[in-house]
Order: sequence, then C-alpha cells, then structure tokens
Amino acid sequence: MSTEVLERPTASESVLAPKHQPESAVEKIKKASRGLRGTLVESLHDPLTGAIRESDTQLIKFHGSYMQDDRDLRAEREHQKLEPAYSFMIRTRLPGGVVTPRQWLALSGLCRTHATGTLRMTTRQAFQVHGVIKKDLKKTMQAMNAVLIDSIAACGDVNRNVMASSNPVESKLHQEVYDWSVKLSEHLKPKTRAYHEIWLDGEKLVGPAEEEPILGPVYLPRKFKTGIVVPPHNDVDVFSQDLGFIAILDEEGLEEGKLLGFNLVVGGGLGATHGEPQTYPRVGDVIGFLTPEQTLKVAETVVMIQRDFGDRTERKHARLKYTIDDRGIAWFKAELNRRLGFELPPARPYKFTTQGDRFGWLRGHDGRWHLTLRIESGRVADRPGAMHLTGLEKIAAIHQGDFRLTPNQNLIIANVPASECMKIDQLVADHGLAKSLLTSPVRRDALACVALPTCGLSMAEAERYLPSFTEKVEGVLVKHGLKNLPLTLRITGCPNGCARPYLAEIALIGRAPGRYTLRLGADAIGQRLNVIYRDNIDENAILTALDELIGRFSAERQPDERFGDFLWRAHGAHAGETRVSESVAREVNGSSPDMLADAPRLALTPAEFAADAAAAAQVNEWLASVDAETRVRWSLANLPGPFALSSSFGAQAAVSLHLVASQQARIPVVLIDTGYLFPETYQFIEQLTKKLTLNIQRFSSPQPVGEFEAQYGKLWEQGRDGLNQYLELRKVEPMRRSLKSLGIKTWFAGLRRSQAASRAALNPLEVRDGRFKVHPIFDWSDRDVYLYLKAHGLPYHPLWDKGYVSIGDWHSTKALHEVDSAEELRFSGLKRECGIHGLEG
Amino acid sequence: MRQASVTHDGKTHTLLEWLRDERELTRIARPLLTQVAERSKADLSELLDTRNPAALTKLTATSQVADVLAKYPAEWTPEALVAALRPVTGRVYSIASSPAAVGDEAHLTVAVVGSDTDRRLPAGAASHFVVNTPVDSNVQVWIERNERFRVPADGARDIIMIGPGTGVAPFRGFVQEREAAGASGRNWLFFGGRSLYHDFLYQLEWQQALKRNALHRLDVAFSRDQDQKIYVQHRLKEAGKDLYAWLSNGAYLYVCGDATAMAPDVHAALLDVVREQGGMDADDAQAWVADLTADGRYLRDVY
Repeated sequence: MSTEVLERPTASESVLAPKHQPESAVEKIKKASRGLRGTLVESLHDPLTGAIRESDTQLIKFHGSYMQDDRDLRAEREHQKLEPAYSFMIRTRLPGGVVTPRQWLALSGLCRTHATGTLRMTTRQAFQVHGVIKKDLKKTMQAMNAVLIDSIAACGDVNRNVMASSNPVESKLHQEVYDWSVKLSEHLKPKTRAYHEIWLDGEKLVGPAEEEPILGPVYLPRKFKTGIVVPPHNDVDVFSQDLGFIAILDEEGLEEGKLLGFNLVVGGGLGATHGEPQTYPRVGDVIGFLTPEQTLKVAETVVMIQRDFGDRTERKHARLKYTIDDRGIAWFKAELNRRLGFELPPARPYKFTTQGDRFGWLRGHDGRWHLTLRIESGRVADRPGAMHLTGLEKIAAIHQGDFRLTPNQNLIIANVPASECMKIDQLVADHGLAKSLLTSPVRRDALACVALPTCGLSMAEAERYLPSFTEKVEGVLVKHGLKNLPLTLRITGCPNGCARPYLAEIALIGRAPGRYTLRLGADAIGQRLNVIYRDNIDENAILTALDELIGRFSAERQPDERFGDFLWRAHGAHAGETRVSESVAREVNGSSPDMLADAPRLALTPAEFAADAAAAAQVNEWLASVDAETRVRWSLANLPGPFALSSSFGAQAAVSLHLVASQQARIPVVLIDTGYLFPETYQFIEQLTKKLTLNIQRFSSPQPVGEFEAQYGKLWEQGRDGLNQYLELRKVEPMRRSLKSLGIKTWFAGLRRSQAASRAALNPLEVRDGRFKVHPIFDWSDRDVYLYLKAHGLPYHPLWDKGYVSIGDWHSTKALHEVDSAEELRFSGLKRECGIHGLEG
Repeated sequence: MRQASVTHDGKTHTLLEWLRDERELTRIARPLLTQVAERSKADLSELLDTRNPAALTKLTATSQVADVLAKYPAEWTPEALVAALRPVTGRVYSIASSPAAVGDEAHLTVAVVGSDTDRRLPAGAASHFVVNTPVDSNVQVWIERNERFRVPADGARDIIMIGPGTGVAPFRGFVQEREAAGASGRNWLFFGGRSLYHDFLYQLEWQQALKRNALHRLDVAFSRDQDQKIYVQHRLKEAGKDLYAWLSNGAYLYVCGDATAMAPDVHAALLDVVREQGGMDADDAQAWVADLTADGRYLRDVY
C-alpha cells in the first residue's frame, strides 16, 4: 500500500474537501485531454485489442459511451489467452425524450445490426444500445447521427441528458417545456468539437482546445443532472436532479395557462456508496423563482458555481449536493445571487400528486391522441409472444406523430390523429405490447436499472430480477386484499441510483448476489426519501418484512393512504429511524451488519474447504438461502475455473443445462456415453444442443460394447458387485478421465436431494476428487423442475411422456408401469443413483 | 466383425485394432479408390485421372475413408480392407515454445478439426486424439528436427515472421527464445485469422510481449472483421516500405502455415514489395528474392 493512500484523510474528514488534497486521477485525464480528445483516435485504430486505452475509457464517457465486458466470459477467455470480451454501450442525448418515427426506425435497425438486438429506454428518457464492439463503434455513432441523434455528454462529468415532463396531454405548455429542455441541453453542452472530429470525421483541430466558457477546461467535478417538471405530475423526479425546474403557470391553470416561469431546485442527487455514511441520497432544495428569460442564465450560473466549488479530489463527494451541504444552502443562494447580480424572488406555490406515468390512450388538448405503453425495465426486445421491437418498428413505419420516452422507462406513441388509433391498436395487440397495461399497479409502475450482465457496477440482479420479485410482492398484496394498491417499487443492482430507488415506497438496492438493502417509506410523489429498513438481506427476509408491514398497513391504513405514508406515520419517526441509525452505526464501525455479506467471497482451496467444516457449513448455508441462478452465478464468480457441467441427458436434464449454460455459454457439458443410451436420448441430446447451443464433450469407455460384453457378460445383471463394476468401467472411469483431461476445477451437476435416499444429505457445494462440485438445484422438488421447464419452454426427455421418469441406460431403466415401486426404477432397485457422483480420488 | 482376426504383412490384430491403431482413416489415397472402383463397379475415372488431380484433391479435402466406403458400397473382406488402406502415419506439429522459457515442456498449437458440435469438416485424426487424451497420459511422439527453420545464430539480426492461424506456432517459440537469449535484433510478427474476437491466438501473450519489448511490431489481419477480406499478404504490402528496409538491412524472413493459398500469396506480395520499394522490374525482383533464399534468409515451413 502506498504512503499516499495511508496519508489520505479518513472519510469523515474528507467531507470538507480541503484544497491541499491531490486532485483525482480522472481530473488529470480530463486536464490532459485537449478538449476530451485524449488518444481516442489511436485507441480506436489499435488493431491488437477490442479495448481502448485506460485513460480513454474515462474520456469516451463524455462522448456517450462506456466500455464494458461480458462478465460471464472473463474466466473462460483468460484461459484461452484471449482478452476479455470488450464491447461498448452507447447512450443517446435526447432532451425531453422525443424521437420521430424515422429516428426510431434507425435506432431499432442499428441495435439489430451492431448491438445486442434490444433497445433500452433509460430513466433519463434516453436510449441505450449495448454490446457494440470497437470496430462497429464509429459506424454506430454515424448511423445515429444520420438521423440527427448524438450522444454528446450523455455520460461523463457534464450536464447529462436534460429531462422534461413527457406527457403532452394537458396543455400547449408541454411543447414549451420540451423546447426549454432542448435549449438547456444545447446551452450546457461541451463546446469542444471532439465528438465531430472523432466519430464523424470532422476537421481536425489545430492548436489549443476550444474554450469551454461554462464547463471550464476540466469540465465538471462529477455528473450533473437537469430536469424540468410540469406539476402536478412529478414524473421526472425533479427533486433527484442537481438542477431542477418546476413549471409555474398563471391562474388559468393547466388547460389554458401560460408559463410564468420556474421554481428553481438545486442539490438533488441519489447516488451513494454502501458502508460509507458520508455518501447519501439527497432531495433538492427549492430556492426561488425565475422567469423564462432568466432560465439559461440561472442554469449556467448554477453549473459554474459547482464547477468552481465542487470537490475535485474525491469523486464520491463531488456532486452538487455535497458542495451545498458542505457550505450551506444560505451560502449557495448568496453566491448565486451575487453572480446573477440580482436576487431570486421566493418560490411560488406548487403541488405534486403523482410520480408515475398514466397508461393507455389519453386525448390531448388539441384533440390528438397519445398512447402510453408499459415497457418493463425499458427493454424493447423481441421475445416469444412479445415481439416489441418488431411491433414498434411496424408502428413507426405508419405513425404520423412522434414517440416520447418517459422518465419511468415507458413509451408514449404521441400525437396520433383519431383516425389512426385503430391501426395502432391493432399493431399493439398483434405484438403483445398491451399486455403489461393489464397488470397490477405495482408491476406497471416498477423500475429497474440494467445491472447484470452488462453493467460493470452492479452487485446484484435488477432488470432480470424485477419480474419474479414483483410477482412475489403481488402475492403478498393479494394475500392482504390489496391487489390493486398503487405502490412504487424500484430495484437497482448497486447504490448509484439509476432507477431512482431512493424515491420509491419500496426499494431494493443490490449488495451482493441475491442480497439487497431494503429501503421503505418514500412518498409517491418524489418529495421524501425512503430510509433503510433492513440491510443486506435475501429475498425471504425481504418478503417476510413486507408481508408483516403490508399486513399491518391493510389493517390500520386510513382511507386512500399510501403505503409509504403509512409507514412514515405509524412507524417512521420511531422504528424506521432506529433502524436507520443502527444500520449506519454498524457501517461506520466497519463491521458488516451480516456475516453473510462475507460468505460469498470464498478464498479456500477444495482441500481447505473439505477440511474446514465450519467454513463449509457457512457457505452452504448461504447458498441454501439464495436461488439456483444465484448459486450458479456465485460459483462462476468465486470458484476456480475451468468449469464443466455433467449431464446424463435424463428426463429433467434441460433444467441444469439451461440454468448453467445461460450464465456461461460454451461451458463444457460432459456427457458420459455408456454405449447403452436410448436412441431417444441421442435425439434429446441433439435437440438440446441445438436449442441451447451446448458445447458437448462426449466421453466413453475405450472398450466398445461388444468387446465389453464378450469380456464381462451382462455385468448389470450380476448383482450389486457386477453393477458396481459396470458403473466403474462404463461411467466412473470416463467421468474421471473427462474431468482430468479438460482440467476441470469446478464441476456442476443437477443432483437433487429428493431424487434418492442416498442424496438426502446433499449440499449445494461439496468437494469431490479434489474439485469443487456444485449442485445448484439440490433442494428442488419435481414440481420446481416442472415449473422451470415450463417457464423457459424447455422439453422433457422424449421418453418422459412414455412413463419413464428416471432415464439412464436402456438395460436398467423401466417405465413407471413396469415396476411396483419407485425404488425399482433404475438398476432394478439396487441403486437409485446414476453411479458417477460418488466419484472419489 | 470388428473382433475378426486379420493377418496382414505378418502381423495379426483384430479388425478393430487394425482400424483404430494401424490404418489411415482420415486421408483418402489413390490405391483405396482403385479398389473401391473395382469392387463397387462405380465409375471413378474422373477421380482417378492422374492428369487432372483437382477432383481427387476436392474429395480428400471434404471426405474421409468412411465417407467413400459408404458412398460406394461393395463387398469387402476384413483382409482386403486392411490391405487397401495405408498404414497410419504420425502428424507433425511445430513446437510453439522454447525450452529457454518453458523448461521441460513442449507446447503445441493445435486446431481441433471438426469438433463435436460442428461437423461440417471431417474430424481430424491427431487433433481429436490430442483433445480426447487425458491429461498426464503417455503418447508416442518423435522429434523431427528442422535445422533450417531456426532463429538466426546472430541475435543482432532482425526477424520478420509471417504466421497466420496455427502457423504462428513456431514464432511463439522464436520470440520466447530470442527474449531469453537477450537477442538484440528486433522481432516483427504478421498474424492473421478470421476475427479479432475469437481467433487471435495468444492475444494476451503478444500484448504483454509488446509491452516488454520482446516483440517489436505486430501487424494483424482479421479476414472477417470488415466487408472486404484482409489477409496477411495485404498487411505485408501495406508495410512494404518498412519490410523492404528491414530485409535490405539483413533481416530474416520466415513464413509458416498454409501451403496452398497463404504461402504463394505471401510470396507474390513479397515480390511486389521488392519490385515497388526497390524500383526493380519483375525479373530483378525475382533475382533479389532468389538471393534472399540462397542467403538462407527466406525460410518457409508450410504444410
């Protein structure tokens, strides 16, 4: 550890950010970048790598892109002496989230050709495409630009995409507010031509970089977010913005009113870091009123104060919210008034009533129609029965109005003449786009960030977890007779706050695979933050807590009271705060509130694991508490590779194959071919190989069946000894050989406790033959298997339908109707084991 | 049938053993085809036409013995079949490591031809044997010394290595050897494959070697990464000026890999470079390259 790190002040001292501290590494990169150019051109042309230089990974953010890599493939590629599977995410700048049908078609097309085939709508009304490889990056940027969409300042230490209330229903005002979002975005945008130069082959700069009159030569200390809201709908979560504008109308009201100006909101921001209480989410302060003509001047002045006073030494403490808290809101107002040369008058009254979107068709003030569609997690994709990407392309092809991305990851097909509504309805229905409108309110309003597998920051699932978790919450609500309760639920994979979790009535913030911080009690209008209710707990604990609280809410709520408000009224001041302070105290003391947070990091060798019963029990206890997917993901991240999965291609084999292969494509699937498999098994192997693109590694005894029988006779008919010898020769030896020759360090197998008495004590993680052996579905019942196969559209073995429930070699397997008891299904009752899992050195 | 005892050339094995251990099953040879034609009465005159080997070449590239036997069914006795097949021969691989760097090991670069999941190409006999042989097994190997295809005795000489695909194997050993020996000459590698993402053999090692200055220049051509196909010979021409300068300055030039397409294309590219950079006509360029060869500085190990 270097002395520089040791001499750094402790976290709590750094709150005031003394000026003598060294500037952060990113500051140095920005300073040396010649207007965000850096060595990006050289990086893009480097033919020896799919990556860009490390300093350029910081700069490319300012151009709207992040370098990422497929976290599932890291270990495998390293083994192949290949660098990680690098790719890029591109995020558009799209003030107010408005796109034309032509732009939609272009984006949809390029996500098919250059990205992962999905478009993602963000919580800041922008698009993201993922998985663009380096050689396609410039092409993709150019394809966007061809339809006048850029990605300048979509990420990085600048003013990000400017948000605006999305629903154009109420008034002419919306257009005015949208225009302001565009003007603000343009005004606060970096002036450097680096983007045009690098991506659009613009003329090369000669001499010093362009002046940046607002952002300055080193840009802002950290990201900066701006949004405009039209009450009473706080869809942009204006209090989460560094800089917010609340539209104030004259007394004519929403229908006919004119824009008088804006209330100014400063210092909102949601990001925080687990275990660092000096980082926290903050709702903005409303500090005054301004007229429309003053908008740009006030905005640039707020930005410039943050530019000059924001912390450039510690990035976790560099947002405007900390600048304001460190110096006080009074100081900020004084500094703002001083720089403006006039005093902002007091804020005008305003009132918010909702935070979410209004779904379905709504008629606008000018008689045009607007259809808000629910797009779960903002992910526009083609899935069986829900061909959203294709459907929206077809709609874009005939649509005469425009599309609007909402701050809640949904989509408005806007400005539809009445005559066109039926056509659009038909396309919506044909492509499964309306299904989500019929779901429960909690599901309709839920938000999730991208998280795994693409986001490098995520610690737990979010987007992929949202559907199943929501279903469980729905179950709790139904149980307490609250099926149609409006409830805001937001999940993020890390505490940085992309899905604005701190403003939800229920929020899950990722801690570790399968574990979350549960925060509760925000209002449903984006004005009050939630608080930590329980930290670092798994799904069971979350649902238990929710079940208890929702039960009490159901019994004690006042008419129309929201869940978040109830918690605050009934428990907030007391229980809630106690819990917060406990949790904070634990975090400050540096001891993790729960040993399970540490359990997932396994640093033991197989031998140590086998010898240390206590450690093994602790890990197994944790593994038993999470779901099968998490077990697999944890194993791939924590246990040594290379990995393999063994499969007999028996009745329910598709479960393990799907579970594991969907997290690590190309994982070797070891198939032990005894020479006595059913013809149907070979068909099944072929079917699954095609469906799941499996990497089958087939191993057999070197002795052909005929020769084997000539030498030994029918061993499987020769009692227990014969059977054991049969298993050793035809199964165990090839299995042992396969693991050895593939160099396997960790072996996945689909054993389940309920399969046989000999498997009743099975653990999720064991050591066999000096290797780790993982049983991700060790605790599943036949019904769990059935539900999984059904949920993923996976087939049973072809013989399943003929009455075979346990399928191995043809000579030792019987159909259910051929035996008297289930014990007899395999090897005539001598063993209900396939034979290879007892394998020992 | 597979257990039938067959005696041939004074040796007796079961048919299975003959086929598994003694006979060539992946390469089709003319004597077998002659027999097949006689026994099946099929007209194989085009395949057997010695003046026009193209048909046979195409067949051998895409089929194996079993395919031919299945396509032209005929009566065979075990003895006749064993007699018609050639004895199996070993397969030769370049050693991809230097003992100076890896000690008591020899690394090979093996492309697995016709994998389990991709059966478009027939399975390669040796690559599958290697893949399916357990770690720590004993296999028969022999060393075939190639005294000519070696790093220059004079470590101060620059070397240029052209090795797309598995042709890169010896050059991994070269670079290891020259680094371990502290050779002062520069090392320049041309590598090629289909895609950067999947086929960049030893990518991490080359990246690190460049950082350590154990490798001084690396030019790559990935044929499928852009609309028009780019191969090593294109990179050779692009780097013509430097290439000619290095060679004029005494550098050694090595080519390893595919003999059918790559080596002739590289040779043609080399002639072009010499002609253009040396300001020569075609004959002079030929002579210049011939001198390079005579000098022992243009070395090829192609297959």
